[in-house]
Amino acid sequence: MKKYLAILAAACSLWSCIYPFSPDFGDELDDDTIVIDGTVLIGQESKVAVRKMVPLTQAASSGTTRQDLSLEKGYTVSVRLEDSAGETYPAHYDPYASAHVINTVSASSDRQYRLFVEIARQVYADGTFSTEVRHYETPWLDVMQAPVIDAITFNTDGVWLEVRADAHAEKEGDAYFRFDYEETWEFHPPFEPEFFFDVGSGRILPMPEDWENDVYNCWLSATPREQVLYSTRGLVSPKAEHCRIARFPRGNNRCQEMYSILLKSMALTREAYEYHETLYKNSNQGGSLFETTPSEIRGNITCVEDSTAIVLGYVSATTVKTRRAFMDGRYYMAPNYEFELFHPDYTDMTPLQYYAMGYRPVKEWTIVTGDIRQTALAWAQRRCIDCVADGGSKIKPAYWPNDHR
Amino acid sequence: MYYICNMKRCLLLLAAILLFSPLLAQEVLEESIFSKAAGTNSQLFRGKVVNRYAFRYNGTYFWSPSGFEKGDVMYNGKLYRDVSLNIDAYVHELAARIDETTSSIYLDRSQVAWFTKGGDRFVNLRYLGVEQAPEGFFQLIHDGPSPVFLRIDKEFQSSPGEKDGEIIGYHDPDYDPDVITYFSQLKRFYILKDGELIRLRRMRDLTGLYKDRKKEIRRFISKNALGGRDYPLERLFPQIMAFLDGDGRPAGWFAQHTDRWHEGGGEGFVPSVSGQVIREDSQRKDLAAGFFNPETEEISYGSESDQQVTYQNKVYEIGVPVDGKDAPRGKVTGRVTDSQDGLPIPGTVIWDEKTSTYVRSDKDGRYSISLPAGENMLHFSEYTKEDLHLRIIVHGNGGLDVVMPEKITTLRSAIVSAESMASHRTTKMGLERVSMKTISKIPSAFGEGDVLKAVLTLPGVKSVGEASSGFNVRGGASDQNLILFNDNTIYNPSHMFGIFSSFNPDIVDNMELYKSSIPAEYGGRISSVLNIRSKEGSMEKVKGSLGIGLLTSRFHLEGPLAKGKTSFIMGGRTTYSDWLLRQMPKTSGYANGSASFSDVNLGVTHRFTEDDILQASGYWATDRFAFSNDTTFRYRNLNASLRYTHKTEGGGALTVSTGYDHFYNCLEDGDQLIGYTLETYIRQAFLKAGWTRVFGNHTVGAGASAVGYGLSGGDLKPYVFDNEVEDADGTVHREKGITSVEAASLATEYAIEPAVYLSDTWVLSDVFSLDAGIRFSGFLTRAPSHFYGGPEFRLSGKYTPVENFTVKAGVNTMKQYIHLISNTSSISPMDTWKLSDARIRPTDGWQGAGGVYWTVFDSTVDLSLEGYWKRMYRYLDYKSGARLSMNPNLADDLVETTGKAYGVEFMAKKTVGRLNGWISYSYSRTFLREDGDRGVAAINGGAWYNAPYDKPHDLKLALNYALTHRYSISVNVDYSTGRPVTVPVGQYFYQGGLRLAYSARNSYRIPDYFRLDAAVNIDPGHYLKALAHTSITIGVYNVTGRKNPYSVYFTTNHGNQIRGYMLSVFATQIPYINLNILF
Repeated sequence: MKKYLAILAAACSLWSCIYPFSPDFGDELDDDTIVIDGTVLIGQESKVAVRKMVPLTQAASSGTTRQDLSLEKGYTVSVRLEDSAGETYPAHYDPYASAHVINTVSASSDRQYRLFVEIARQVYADGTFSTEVRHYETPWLDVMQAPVIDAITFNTDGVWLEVRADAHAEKEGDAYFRFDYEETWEFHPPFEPEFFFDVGSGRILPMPEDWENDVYNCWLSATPREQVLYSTRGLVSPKAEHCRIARFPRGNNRCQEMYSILLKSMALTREAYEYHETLYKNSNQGGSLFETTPSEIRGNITCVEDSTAIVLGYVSATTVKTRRAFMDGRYYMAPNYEFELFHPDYTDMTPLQYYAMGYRPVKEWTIVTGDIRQTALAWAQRRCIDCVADGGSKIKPAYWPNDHR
Repeated sequence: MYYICNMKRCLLLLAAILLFSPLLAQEVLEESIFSKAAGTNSQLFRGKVVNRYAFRYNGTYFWSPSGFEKGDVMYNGKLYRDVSLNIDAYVHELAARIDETTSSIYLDRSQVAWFTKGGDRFVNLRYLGVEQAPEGFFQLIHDGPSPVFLRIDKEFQSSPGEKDGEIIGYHDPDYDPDVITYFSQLKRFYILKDGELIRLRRMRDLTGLYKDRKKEIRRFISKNALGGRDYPLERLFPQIMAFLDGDGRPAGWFAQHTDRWHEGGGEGFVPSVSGQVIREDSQRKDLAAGFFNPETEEISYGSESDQQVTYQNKVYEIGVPVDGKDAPRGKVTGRVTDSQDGLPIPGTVIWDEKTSTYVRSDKDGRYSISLPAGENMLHFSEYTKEDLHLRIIVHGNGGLDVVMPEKITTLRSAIVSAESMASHRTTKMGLERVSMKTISKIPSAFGEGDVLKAVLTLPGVKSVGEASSGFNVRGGASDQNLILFNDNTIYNPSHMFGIFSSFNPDIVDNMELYKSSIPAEYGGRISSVLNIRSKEGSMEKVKGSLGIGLLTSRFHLEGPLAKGKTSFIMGGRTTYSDWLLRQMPKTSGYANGSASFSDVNLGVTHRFTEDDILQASGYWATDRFAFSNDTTFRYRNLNASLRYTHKTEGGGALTVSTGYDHFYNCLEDGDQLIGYTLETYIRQAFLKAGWTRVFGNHTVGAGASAVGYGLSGGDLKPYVFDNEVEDADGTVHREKGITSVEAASLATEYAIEPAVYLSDTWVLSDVFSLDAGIRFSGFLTRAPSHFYGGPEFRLSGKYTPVENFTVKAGVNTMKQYIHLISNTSSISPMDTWKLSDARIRPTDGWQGAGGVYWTVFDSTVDLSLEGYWKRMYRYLDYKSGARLSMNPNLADDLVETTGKAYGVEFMAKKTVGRLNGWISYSYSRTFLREDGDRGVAAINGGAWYNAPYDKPHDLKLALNYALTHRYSISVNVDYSTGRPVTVPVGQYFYQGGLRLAYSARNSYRIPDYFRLDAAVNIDPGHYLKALAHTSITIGVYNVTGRKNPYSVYFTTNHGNQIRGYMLSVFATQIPYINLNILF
């Protein structure tokens, strides 16, 4: 079903074309369009971020416009959570997470919860400052029980490596799952250098015997920009079978050395599921002729002062189940990095200049061009021998099962 | 030959029309005989038999170019001698006239037994008892025990013909290659043997009848060096027959069959026009004294009928010269009566040619006109009667009573411009009729004469985009059009997502689109009715055609099963477009795709008699397309119908039809885990009966219909897969099984839609007529049982104050019980159809429209201006985020909306001449608004929003220019405002990625649409001897190559960055070539 909704391939003919199009629809924006982004996670810390919608053309290519209202001048945001037993959970703002954090670690899943957000805005009018306060609230939210993650599997179809999960809901009936995950993987650069450039003497020297390569093992983490949604409606049993969580090519360095995924499963109500599904569809149009036209969706947050105002976001309350899985490098298909090696032309630039440009010597290498076979010392970009230069971190996660450093 | 349109006359014409002078209309009407609509509405208009065709043409419509010749005619039992006669072989009437200067009149064919002309003998076989003979005259070329006849018919063609070619059949000294109309000749030979009339096509047919004497005949032929390819049959047949008859000269057939009439009965009789025998025992020129009552100054309206006039070839003397001298002026008075019932005819125009004065007869049919003395020509004309032209000599005051003869309906209609003047004839507004000939000239993608593309060039008809399979009429949704093909309902009128229509152009005869003024016999949809009829197979000979194009091929074959009685027609089309898709780049995702369709038509017509016809029609079509490796769409149409027509006397008809429709859809998703097949179908059976009858000024129609529906909302089954899978380590194993989708199916909905209707077209006077209809339609569903129903009203009126100028207005209400639910921008075959039930109410609508129609420039250009206002109630739209497929509670995801639409359409159409076609412009708006009150959740918060097909400006041009009779150029221009879309208005970061926030529904527009197509059509040469005619169309679709956007869409690429794209379906010029072979 999801597949049907997601893939209605464009039925274009031979002569159809897709062209880039810059939106020119004007910036009719409601200054008041607020985004409330958060989930009440029972058993963990809940994070709620309060943001503003920004014009389409603004920093369209950067993609990281966060517009956190709590950091915005003139705005004061406060968040609190209440449960049906009358308890209040205050939130404190964490600038590193760019979100208000609520301690719901020991919250009970038997109660209902309600989120309140208050935004005070300083308005300057008629020579004076005044404060405009708006309150936003959700209805009472039932806590949904997260599905049990039965297994996480890794397989490949030859080109892609897929991480799939099996999960099942503990209750009967239609279930709607949401999977979030964190990936952490260890990788190393394609080459280990046998030579190094000594800046002091300006010479290329072989690596000493006892040199330890401390830029060989690195770790990286990533979180997805879209969570995986799964619905068991219409299926024989309320199970997610081989639900695809993530996939990446076999040449990606995720599966080079060791890969770990921390899968978090959550449950949604039907309305929450449909909200998010429509949200993803609206944001990922494929241009197919038979695609559903985008439509506005209403979340479950209302503004007390103006019930007709649009508030973006849907808040759910759910327990979380996590499971971690590891995968070694058995599926890794190393891309060919050899083309990164090159013989520098010392008549063109000195080794120092190459070094200053970010290249590093690697090893002796034979490069064949046409009929010419040349064996000489080859250089490559720094990131080909230095995993930190390639973006990795030397901080090894505590749970890492090997002794690499 | 007359050529009317020189400048002076044109101005005169214009002045005359403006002065409301209907008299000059006589000249104009002469063109209109070839501008009549094909004759289904013969009650609303009567053809006028004219003796002059006032436009340019090559050739002649007479039997031969020899013109009027003296002869004798046996008419109504009396022999008239020495009459100038000529045969109009176009309508097969016998024309007679006194002398060169008088106008000629047609004799009543049903009274003509035989006549001679210039030494040739002609007979009216029907009159002489040969029942099987067609109506009309036959030349007796051999008189013997088995007479042989020659029959010549002239047909009107819209090409120049050939100067000395066989097509015209004679040398035409006035041939002008710039004139693209001519009369072509059709020669047929018959022999009457043993009481049976047998057609002779070639020598073989004759020898076949005399098998035992075949050898003799052959010897005779070779001995006398007869025959050979160019030897005319009209010489060959008589010679052979004379040989066969031998020297004994047996009694001729002619003498035997005509001996019951005898010569005599007076001399100098001139035939009467209306069939009444006028015995006049005086001579032609001199009138006996005392024949008239001597008149004084007094006008006498007395019953003393001075002269009762019904015939025209006589000179009437008004008054008596006093003392041998004429008075300076004389008053002619008299009474005009109907030949059939003797009743007076008011409103007859009596016009004098010399002084151009005219009067009208009063309510008692009396008139009085003052004329100068001397010779005059007096014309009597009345809309529903035959015109009379009388030669008079005015000596003084006198009386002249006139009996107006009936108009003779002509049965034939011209091929060209069957569409022009239709708007003046009918009360129906918003009716567009297009013939297949016109359709084939409109360029379309991939070169096929496409019915739907032709529909889209008409004003008021729009589509959402090039890949849309539906169309929108006057602001109505796609599912609000009832598309009928030979009475079968077609649910998906196109193949390959809108590129080809479901109708094979070789099979289609014509189509009618009712945009407003929908006749009461139709119902069930609220916006329009598109009625397409297929051709009857040829009753005479087998013929067919073959079309080869870049993407599709088609063929058709038709012919008689029993000559003159039963015929068949069949056609088929198929595509081979897969090869094109494989040329596409892999990254487009379509390289592995396939799209194909094929369809087959079959029709059989059986004529029990001329008035009883049975037609059977069948249609089967299948479509399939797949664009990703996983998903395949398949759908099928199967339709069958049977129709019986019985024509009653007086122009009525009784029609009974029944049939079955089946529309089936299948979506197959081959995903190994959650793949499925989803099948839906609609089954429909109908029974209709209709009856029309003419009662005086009323044409009454009544009828009833019942349509039964069985609609399956969906049958979902897990996908069954069985494939070989290769693992990462290279081993291959077989995987079989079914996916984990749970089988489900929605209950089949059943319903029946009965209806009865009553309609009347009432011609109140010659300028005003009214069309009223009432239809009661109902809808009864089963399980749970629910009934909807109610009356629908159709009312329209037409007012023609002046010739060629008509004003119409009308109001319609309609009901619709079946709905198409769609949330995609293009109508996809997987959209859901739903019957009304206890929770889903039917859609109602009403439309008011008015229009003005004017035909100018000698009836060559039709101008029309129509405006409409429409309201739709309970039109179903989907809620945001609705789930439309396999939803057992679909009503929960739908809302009722109210729609309003209004617009103005202007069209100028030219249907005759070298340049023909039409240009139209329309401005129209359509808005929807959700009913009920869902507060902020309502679509657009409950405010009016643009309907997805709201395109305010629309300009269309469809032109065809005939360079010569073989080459013509077609140009098509389409411009419209961009359609409304819902676009993002902002972006925000949510749950880890970028998301788009959308505007109110349909509140922005994509850029405007403009497209120009051009094509060159090369028609077959007129080489009759060629076995097959080929015609070629070469064209370019989208000449300017404009990348007309179909839609704009945005993606964040899964939360990363926002990109906007514009999708064009045909983004470049598309050349095409199409080859058609007719055999």
